[in-house]
Amino acid sequence: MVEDARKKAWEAYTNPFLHERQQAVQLLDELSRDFPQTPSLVPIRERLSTQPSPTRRDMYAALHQALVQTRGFSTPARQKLSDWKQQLNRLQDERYSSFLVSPLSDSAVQVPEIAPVFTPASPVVMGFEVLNACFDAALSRDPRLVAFGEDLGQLGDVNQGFRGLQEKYGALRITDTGIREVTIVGQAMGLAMRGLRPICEIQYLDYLLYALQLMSDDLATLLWRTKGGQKAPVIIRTRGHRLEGIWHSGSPMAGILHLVRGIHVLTPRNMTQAAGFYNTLLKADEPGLVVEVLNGYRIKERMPENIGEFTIPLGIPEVLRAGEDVTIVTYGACCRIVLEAAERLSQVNIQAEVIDVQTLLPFDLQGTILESLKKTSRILFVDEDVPGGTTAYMLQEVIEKQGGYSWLDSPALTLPAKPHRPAAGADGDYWSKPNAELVFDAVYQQLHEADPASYPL
Amino acid sequence: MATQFLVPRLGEGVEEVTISKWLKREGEYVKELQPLLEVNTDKVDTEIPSPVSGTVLKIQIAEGETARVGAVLAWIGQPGEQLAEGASLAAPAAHEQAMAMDEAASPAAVSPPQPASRPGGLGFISPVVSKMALQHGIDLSQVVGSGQGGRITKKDVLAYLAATPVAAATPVSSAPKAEAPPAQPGVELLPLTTVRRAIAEHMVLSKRVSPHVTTVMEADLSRVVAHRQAHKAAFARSNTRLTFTIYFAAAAVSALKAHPIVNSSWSDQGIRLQRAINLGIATSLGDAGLIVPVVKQAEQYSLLGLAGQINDLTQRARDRQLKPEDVQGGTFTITNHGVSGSLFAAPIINQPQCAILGVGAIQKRVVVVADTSGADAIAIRPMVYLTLTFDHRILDGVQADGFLGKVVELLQNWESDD
Repeated sequence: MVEDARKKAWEAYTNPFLHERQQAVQLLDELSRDFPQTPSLVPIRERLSTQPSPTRRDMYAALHQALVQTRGFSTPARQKLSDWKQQLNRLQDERYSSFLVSPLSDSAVQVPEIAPVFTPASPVVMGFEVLNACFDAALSRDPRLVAFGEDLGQLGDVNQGFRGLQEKYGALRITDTGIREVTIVGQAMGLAMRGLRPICEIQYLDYLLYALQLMSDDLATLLWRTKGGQKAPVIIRTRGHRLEGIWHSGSPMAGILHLVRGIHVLTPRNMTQAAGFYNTLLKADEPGLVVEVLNGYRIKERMPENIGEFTIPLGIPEVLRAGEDVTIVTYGACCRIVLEAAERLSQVNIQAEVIDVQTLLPFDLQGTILESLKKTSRILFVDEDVPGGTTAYMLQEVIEKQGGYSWLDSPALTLPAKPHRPAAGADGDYWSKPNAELVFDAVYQQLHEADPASYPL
Repeated sequence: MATQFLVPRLGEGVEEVTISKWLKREGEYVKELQPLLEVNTDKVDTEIPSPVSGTVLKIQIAEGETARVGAVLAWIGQPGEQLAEGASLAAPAAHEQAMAMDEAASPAAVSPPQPASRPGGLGFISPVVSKMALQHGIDLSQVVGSGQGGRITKKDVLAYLAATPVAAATPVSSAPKAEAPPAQPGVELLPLTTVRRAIAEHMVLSKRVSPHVTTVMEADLSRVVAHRQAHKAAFARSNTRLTFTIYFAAAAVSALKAHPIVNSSWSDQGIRLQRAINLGIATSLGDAGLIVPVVKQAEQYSLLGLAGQINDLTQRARDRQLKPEDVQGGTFTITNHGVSGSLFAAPIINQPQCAILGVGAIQKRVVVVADTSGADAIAIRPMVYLTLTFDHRILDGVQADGFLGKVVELLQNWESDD
C-alpha cells in the first residue's frame, strides 16, 4: 500500500519528463535527417534516449549540443528544435525564477504616480515634520497600520518622525521595542503575514546588519519560494549615510541590496521623497526598505498639500540638474554633495547632468540614465558605499544591461567612499566619504583628458 | 572686550537650533563651562556651556526662536562694558561664504597645451566614436583629435561632421592613397583642407559605386517668373527671400511625391524607398568648398514654409552655423549651378541617394510656341535647362525622364495658392 503510493508519486513526478524526452528525441531524429553528414548527432540522441530518470536539464543540454554541432545552417527541423528549446527555457524560468517580486497588480512597481501638490501657501517645515504628517495621515487612513521600533513609541523616534503619534493612536499601534533588530523584523514579518501593515524601524542603517540574515533568508525569499502563495508586505524604515562615528554613519548599501533581492530598496534623497515612497509602498502589497537620509531631518522642505495621497513611482530616476558634458549618477545623501559639485563645475564651463536613481531595487526601469549618457557620453557613479559596492552595481546596470557601453567617449568612473568605515569626527568623515571636491576633481580630470585645451589643469 | 557667544556646530546635518531656555539672564554672571542655555537639536534637548567666564551682557536670540549655526547667541564680558555699535546684529556668515572660484589663468600667461600628435595608428577609439564613424562612414584618419595625446573624441567627430559637406551614410573604404609627388620647381603644393579632402573622397566614392546617367530637359519659366514677380514683395514682408531655387525645390518635392522611386537608395538587400523627402540644397562656400544642408520632411511645407527653411539653412551654411544634423539624412539633392552662369551640367550623385537635379541659368531665348489658333509662332521666353543625374542601378531612362518631365510640367504650369 505504501509502496503503491510511492510508485504512484514517482510516476506522477517522472511521467512529464519521459513525455518531454520523447519529444526531444523526436526533434533530434528530425534534425539528423536534415544533417546526414553530421554523425556527431547520433551519440547525442543515444545518450538522451537511454538516460535513466532523465531531467529537463538532460534534454536542454542535449538540444544545446545538437544546435552547436549544426551551427551555421538553418533548416526547418533545426528551427523547430531551437524553438522547442527556447520554449522549455521560458517554462523553466517561470517555474524557478518568477515571483522574486510580484508580477501582479499588487506590486509597488505598478502603483501609479501622484505628484505632490504645492501651493504658494504650502508651509516650509523641517524634514521630519513632512514625515510626521505622512505617518499621521497613513495611521488615520488605515486601521491595519502599526509602527514600532527602538524609541519610536514614547519618544516618537530619535528624529521625531512619529512625534505625538503614540498619544494620538495609542500604545498598541505605536510601540517601543527592545534593542534586538532581528526580533523587530521578525515581529513585522509575522504581523504582515497575518494581514496587518507594519512599519518597523531599525534605528540606524548600520544596525540593519543585525536583522539582515532574517531579511535575506525569510522576508526576501517568501514570495518567490512559495511562488506567490504567501506574502509579507513589511515596510522596514531606517536612516543612514550621514552622521558621525564608526557605527552610525556607514552606508553598506551593496551588502544589503545583494542580500535582499526580493525586497524593494528605496533611497530617498529628502523627506518628501521618503513620504512619497511610504505612500507608494502602503498602496502595494510587497516588502520594502526605505533608507532615509540622516542629515535631512532638519533641512527645510515644503509640505505637500496632498501629504497622505501623493506617491513616487519605483524605478524612475529623477534628473535633478540638466547638463551636456557629463552624467553624474547618485542617490540619497550624496545628491546634495553632487549638486554642490555640479554648481562649482558650471563655474568652469562644465555642465553636469545630475541624476538621482531614487530606488536601487528596482533600478531605472525606463532607461532614463542611458538617455542622459547618449547625450553626454561620459558618466560618473557616486555614492558612499565601499569601492566596488553599489557604484559597481549601478555601473553594471547602465553599461552592461542598458547598453551604455557603446555610447561612452571616456571611461565610465565610480567614486565611492574609502573601503573602511567612516572615521570619527567631522574630518574623519570628510576624508572617508566622497565630497564636493572629489566629485569636482573626478569630473574635471575626465574632461581634461578629453579636451586638454579647454580644460587645462 | 566682550566675547561673542556663537551657536556651536552640534553635529553633522544640524544647521539650526531652537532655543528652549536661557539658564542665565542678562546681567547675570556665568562661569566658563557652566550651562548657559538649553537648545532643541535633532534628537533631544541639550545644554550648551558658556565658553568663557563673565557677565551675560546681551542675549541676542530669545527663547523659542531658532538660530543658524554660527549665529551670535549672546555677548559675554565685564559688567557695564559697551558693545560696539551694530556689532551684535550681523551674524557672521563665514560658514556661508560663497566659494570664489579661481578664474582660469589668462591665455597670455599660460599657453594652452598643444594636442600631441598621435603616434602611429589612431590611438584609443572610444565606443561612441567608433559607432559614429561606422554610422556616417567617416575615415577616422581624417579627423583631428583634440583629446589627451591626440585622442579622437566625440566632440571631434561632431566637429568633423559639421565641417564636412557631403557626409555619406555609406562606409568609406579607404582607397590606396597616391604617393605625394616630389616637390617640383614652379609647382606650389596647396595643403588639403578637411573639406577639400572630404569632397574629393566623396566624389570618387560616388562615381565608383553608382553608374551615372544624365538626362536633360528644358522648361519655360514664364509662369514661375510671373508668380515670383507677383509674390516677391509679400514674401519679403515675412522676411523671406523668394528665390528661383525655392520653385525648383517645390517642383522637385511634388515630382518626388508622384515618383517615389526617385526618393530612394540602393542596397544589396533591395531598393530602400524613403518615406520622408529630405531635400539637400547644394550651397557653395566659395573657395572653402561646398556643403549640402538638408530640409527635413520637405513635403510638409508650403512654398512660404519651404522658402523659410531654405533661406535659413543656406544663410547658416554661409555663416558656418550648421549643426551636424543639418547636413545629414538627405534623400534627394538639388544643385543650382546656373547661379554661376552654367547652362547645364552633369552633377555627381550625393551618396547614398538615387539622383540629383541640376538647374542651369535662366535665359531669355527665342522658342517656337503655339499661338491661340494653334499655329506655330516665335516667342521670347525665360528658359532653363534641367538635368537629372541618376543611378542606373535603380532607375532606367524611362522612369528618370518621367520624373524630370513632371518637374518641367509643374514649373511650366505653375499654380500655387501661396
